[in-house]
Amino acid sequence: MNYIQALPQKPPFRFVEKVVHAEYAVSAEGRMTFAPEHPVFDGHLPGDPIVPGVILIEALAQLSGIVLIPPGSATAMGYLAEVKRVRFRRLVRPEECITLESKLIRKLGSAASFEVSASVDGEEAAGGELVVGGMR
Amino acid sequence: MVTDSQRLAVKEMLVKQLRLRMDPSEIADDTPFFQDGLGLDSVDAIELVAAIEQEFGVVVASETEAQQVLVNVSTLTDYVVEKGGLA
Repeated sequence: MNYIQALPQKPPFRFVEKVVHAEYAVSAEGRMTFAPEHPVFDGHLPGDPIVPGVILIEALAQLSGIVLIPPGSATAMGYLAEVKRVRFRRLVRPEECITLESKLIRKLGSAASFEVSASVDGEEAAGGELVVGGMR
Repeated sequence: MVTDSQRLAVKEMLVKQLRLRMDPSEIADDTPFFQDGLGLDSVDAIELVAAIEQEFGVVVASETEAQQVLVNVSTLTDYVVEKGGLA
């Protein structure tokens, strides 16, 4: 399955670039890197380029959506419904390879919670819990 | 035997954990959690299962069990008490 194509998010708002591993209703691991010329760095921050924390969260939510793709389906569904106890521990700079990990905690109906982490060279940049769900 | 104070503890947990804009005493024992009752959704259900474990030390083991238990205050309190929470 092409997990990246299955994401409903498209450029410029699709951040997961590569899926290294994915198992339905269990976990997924992905990668992303931001080029120095990415337009986000024009504003965040001038002369001090940092990948915004909210983009790390969005990328982790996209990867979590991949965990919810049932076998035989070609589309990831679900919206980011809750961000819980996310802690940012390290700045992420352009050209750093970011490892994204998401592990299902529990799934109830159309909602699911995940333990997530974004890291660079084994050092956690962001980690916490996300809830993805079908919302009205 | 489930007591009124145990049901009230469950109502207080609901209001606190789900940030409901109501007083615990306004929730009837048989008010449905979903749809026309408290209007909870599946995201609230995820929150609720985590809160039951955190506040009462009771793990809701499966999605099937959650569907049977997360019906109203009575069903949830019965379950928590049966599993040794709220002693």
